[in-house]
Amino acid sequence: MTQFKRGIAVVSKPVSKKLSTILIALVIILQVSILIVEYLGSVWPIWYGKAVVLETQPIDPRSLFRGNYVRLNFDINRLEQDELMPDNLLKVGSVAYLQLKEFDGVWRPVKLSSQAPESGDFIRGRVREAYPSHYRLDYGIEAFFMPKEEALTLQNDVRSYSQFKVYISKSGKARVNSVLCIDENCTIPRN
Amino acid sequence: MRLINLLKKELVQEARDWVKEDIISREQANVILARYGQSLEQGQGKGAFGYYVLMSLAVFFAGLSLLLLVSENWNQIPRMLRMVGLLVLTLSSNGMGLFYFRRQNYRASVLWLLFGSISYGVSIMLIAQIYHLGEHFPDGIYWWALGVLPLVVATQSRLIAFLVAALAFIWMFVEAGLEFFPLSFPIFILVVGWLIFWHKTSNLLYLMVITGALIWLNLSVSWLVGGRIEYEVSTDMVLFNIGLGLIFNGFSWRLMSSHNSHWKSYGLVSHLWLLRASLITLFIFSFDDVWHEFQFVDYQAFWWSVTYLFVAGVAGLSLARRSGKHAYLPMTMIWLYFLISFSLLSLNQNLSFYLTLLTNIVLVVMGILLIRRGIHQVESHYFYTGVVTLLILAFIRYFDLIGGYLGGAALFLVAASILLGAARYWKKVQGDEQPDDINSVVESTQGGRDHDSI
Repeated sequence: MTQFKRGIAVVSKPVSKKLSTILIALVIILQVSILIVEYLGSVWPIWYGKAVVLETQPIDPRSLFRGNYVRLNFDINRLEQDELMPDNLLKVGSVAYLQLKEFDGVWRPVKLSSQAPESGDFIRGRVREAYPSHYRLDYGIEAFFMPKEEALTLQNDVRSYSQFKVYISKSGKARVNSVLCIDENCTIPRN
Repeated sequence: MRLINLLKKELVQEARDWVKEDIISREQANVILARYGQSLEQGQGKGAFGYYVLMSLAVFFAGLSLLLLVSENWNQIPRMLRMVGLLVLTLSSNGMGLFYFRRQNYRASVLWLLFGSISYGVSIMLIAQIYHLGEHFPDGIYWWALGVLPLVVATQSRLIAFLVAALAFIWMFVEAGLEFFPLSFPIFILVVGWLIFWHKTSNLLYLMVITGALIWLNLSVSWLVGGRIEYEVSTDMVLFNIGLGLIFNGFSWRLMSSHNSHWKSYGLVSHLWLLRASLITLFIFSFDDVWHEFQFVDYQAFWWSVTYLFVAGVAGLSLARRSGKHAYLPMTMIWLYFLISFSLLSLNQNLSFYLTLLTNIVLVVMGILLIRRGIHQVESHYFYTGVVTLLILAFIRYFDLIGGYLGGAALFLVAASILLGAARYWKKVQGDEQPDDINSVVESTQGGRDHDSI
């Protein structure tokens, strides 16, 4: 605590050296733990998930901290058809599960619900906009980071639609992995 | 509380010169400096401090370089190699920080820990980049700030506190920009506040804490008004902020009356900024269109807001009551002015003309009070703030007439009468002391001018 001597503030003693040393060591452990959790959360769907193919429109912006990326606007981000709508109205910010089914090599939406389906392929997302006519959801797969030139190439090559390989874990958590070329003249990098 | 408290380092330098020239003794200099929480011995290691500042900036720039290097997205280098490289850099930098800390070389320790903290943040961003994490990206900044936060407690370093505060601010803004509420922002503010109030001094961090608190409180109200789904700006928030200004001004006066010289400086800094903010607010309300808009716009909870303004004024005044009339007189006037003006809006009659007139009179009185304070305390800053307030008001009102030419002429006549009345009252109260005081103010600024011209 601050002590006073003849009206002058005497700045208090720092936290004891031993305690501070332990605290710094704990901070290092905390930082490494956060990085490990982030890493495992990132690779888990790729290691143990199922690969599906989704259609998207790419746009190229720049992140302040992470470099250039292609923003992916998947078909499943905006759900408008009545038959997809859930039984109850979903709130903005709530978790939602979208059932997917394969049609000609591409996975398309079947049904949106607030509960995880018991069987079949499904992806976990969060409601960003909720209207009686449509929903807008994010699935955590909307960014694809690339060097600037490659990002621009992708954007120019794929003016309308492209396909991306996405891994989905059993819980519905998804991770985007690679871009797929569906055109013979495609110059998009394939990693 | 005098403005010289913001020039303490300059005062120490002056005192050293006085001792060198045998004007005062070393003991006398230390007694004088003790009044401001300083001593002749302070700041002796200026060379080392300069080295530390330059090293800190070098670390900061190296960190930015690392961030941009990672942003280039080195696809040619295997993912694992990139990640392990940054992890090793983070661990080794922090390890060096811990090593120097144990050897009690605190400055070197802080510099290494600062670089380690930046490297840790870059690692978060790198993993997000490698695995294309499109999830809510402010989370990355949040975990960065949270992972560094305990170091503020462990090292009590202002440099690391600044990094945490800056990251917390960025996180708050991007979170709010994406229509989310930064609920845990106060944690960062509280830890930085703990550091600067009880362990270290920093006017910059103090301003960050106060500004952060004000922004967060505004976001909270806006979030609540929007039903905790989105931000909705309501007219009531103007009253909310006026109330906050009154409370913070009372808090500033309370700090200025404390025995702690660092707290005195903090109080003075926030008081000066609040004074400027209050004058700007009054100038905005001095236009007829503004009051006209406030008269007919919708309010969410009008009487609750007016009641809050009443309570906020009482709280602010009770905090400032022991600081004398310079503290509570302008505060009471501004409080009553806003309270009465907004209460009158409920009458559903077009009163914008009268409220504009009242605002202009309040500005005239504020100008007079500032001039009076400047002369009474021999502080040229307040004196000239008052003079400039009156001149700007005259300039604005000459072009933006209230009630046409005759109305404008009447307003200037009212202002002239108030100024004349104030001057006569002053002469009566001050008697013979007044010329000396005015001379002191003029001399103090004249001296500054002479010095500048040299």
